[in-house]
Amino acid sequence: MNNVEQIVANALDEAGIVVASEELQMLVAVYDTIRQRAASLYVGDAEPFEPADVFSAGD
Amino acid sequence: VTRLPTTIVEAAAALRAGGLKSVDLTRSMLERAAAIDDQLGCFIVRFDETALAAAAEADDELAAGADRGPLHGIPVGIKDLLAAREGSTTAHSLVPSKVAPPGVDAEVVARLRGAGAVIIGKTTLSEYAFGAPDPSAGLPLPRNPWDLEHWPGGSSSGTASGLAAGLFLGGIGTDTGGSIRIPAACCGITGLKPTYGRVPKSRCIPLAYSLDTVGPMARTVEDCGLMLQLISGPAPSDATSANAPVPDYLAGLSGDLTGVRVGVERAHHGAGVGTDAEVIGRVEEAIAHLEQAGARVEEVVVERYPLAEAANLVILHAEAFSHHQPNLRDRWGQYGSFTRLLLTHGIFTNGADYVQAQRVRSMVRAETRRLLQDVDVIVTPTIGVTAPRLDADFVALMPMFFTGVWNVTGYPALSVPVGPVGGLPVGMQIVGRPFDEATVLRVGDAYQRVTDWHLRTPAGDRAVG
Repeated sequence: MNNVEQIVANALDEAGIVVASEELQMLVAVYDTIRQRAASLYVGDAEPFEPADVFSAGD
Repeated sequence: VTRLPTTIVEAAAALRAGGLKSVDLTRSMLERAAAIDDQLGCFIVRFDETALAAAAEADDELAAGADRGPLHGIPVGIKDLLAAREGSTTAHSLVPSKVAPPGVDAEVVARLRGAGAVIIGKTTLSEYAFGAPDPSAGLPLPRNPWDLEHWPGGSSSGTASGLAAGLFLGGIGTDTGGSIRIPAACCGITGLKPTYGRVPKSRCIPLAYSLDTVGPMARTVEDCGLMLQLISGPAPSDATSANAPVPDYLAGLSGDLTGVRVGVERAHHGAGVGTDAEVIGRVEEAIAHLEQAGARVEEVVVERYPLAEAANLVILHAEAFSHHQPNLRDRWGQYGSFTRLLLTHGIFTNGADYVQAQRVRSMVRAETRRLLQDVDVIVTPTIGVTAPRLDADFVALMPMFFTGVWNVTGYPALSVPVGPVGGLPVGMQIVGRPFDEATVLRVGDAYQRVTDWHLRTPAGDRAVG
């Protein structure tokens, strides 16, 4: 089991999700793309911005 | 009934002129559905008995002078993600949901029913509004009425295909990343994703809480405006529904676009990103029609478009996984094979990623708000290709869906049909300022007044019978 396979297997295990071996490989295949997408969001231009989630203490 | 009306406006006029009864209209549409739905896969369930009873009641009321408005006696299809009192809500899945219990109406369904609409049945969708066609699930496989070997778009598949095939005149869809606009484009009908919060989501099963919207689908922009008028406005049962004033959506539908500024976003929608050249050609022809109607057209660029696409997917995956995690753990085998893997993508997104996506969302909204000070609407293709075949690689096609960015901003976005390529429909997307659906509808309506693509019906050897 390589590093990505181990990461994916651990994440599934922590969530209690059991998948077939071919499904594990399909998730392994998309892991890097998903992580790269998330990493692309960390841009300096976003520094002044607060999250868009709405929260009001008065609600 | 010799020729069924194709629009709500046409049917409403005929019902009041005495030349048409709702019960005849409803029965004709149910009979057509019974004849073709094995091919089309439009309905999860039809409510033949209660629909005919509601239609008869509508006729009696109209005869007695009690007119509930333009939806009175009109057959309407509801995406099976929203509750309707006639039965359970499946989300097109074998995995049950506790969000939409049987025996009650979603807020939107209750509003339509109160306006006299005839709820004709619940329509098919991508499983939980997220999956793709999965024949192994044993549930209906939605097909495109223009070519039965092609996808009708998703996730509001059956609402779009049923409208195109003439099985009802108005429909309700939901849109989290394009699920109203994509099937509207694929099936050659009109669909509006309203501003986030404009229409209550109560008793609609969520996909992604901060992106989900409920909206109208119909043949015409005018019909979508009529439906939006009835379903807009806050509800105590939905804390995210907005208290914004609801204007008269039909008041501005004049066909005249004098003074309207149309921004065309080509930088992220053209040949450089793989869009079909003929699809671009159809959209450019439509833009020329807007100019002829009086609009001033100029080019705009959404600089942070790729970041907005990434934010949409990170937010969508995280929120969807949050909702489905217990069932993915306990009922993995009951989900469709594609759906369960797609839902599990959210497991690779951490808390900081989600917060960062929401910060990028704020940044993109600031940029697009500035853009929409200089223009009234932004126009793009809805999707960059025509409806793919049912066996297509849907993950590979995702960059061709130009819709999710506008769920990130929350702004209203309309898809109108702008003519076929290779016998399959093409859609143009019109995006407006928050809570300014009126201008979006005005632009779409002006286009439909000088074209008839929205009234064309599926034809040809591969179309539904």
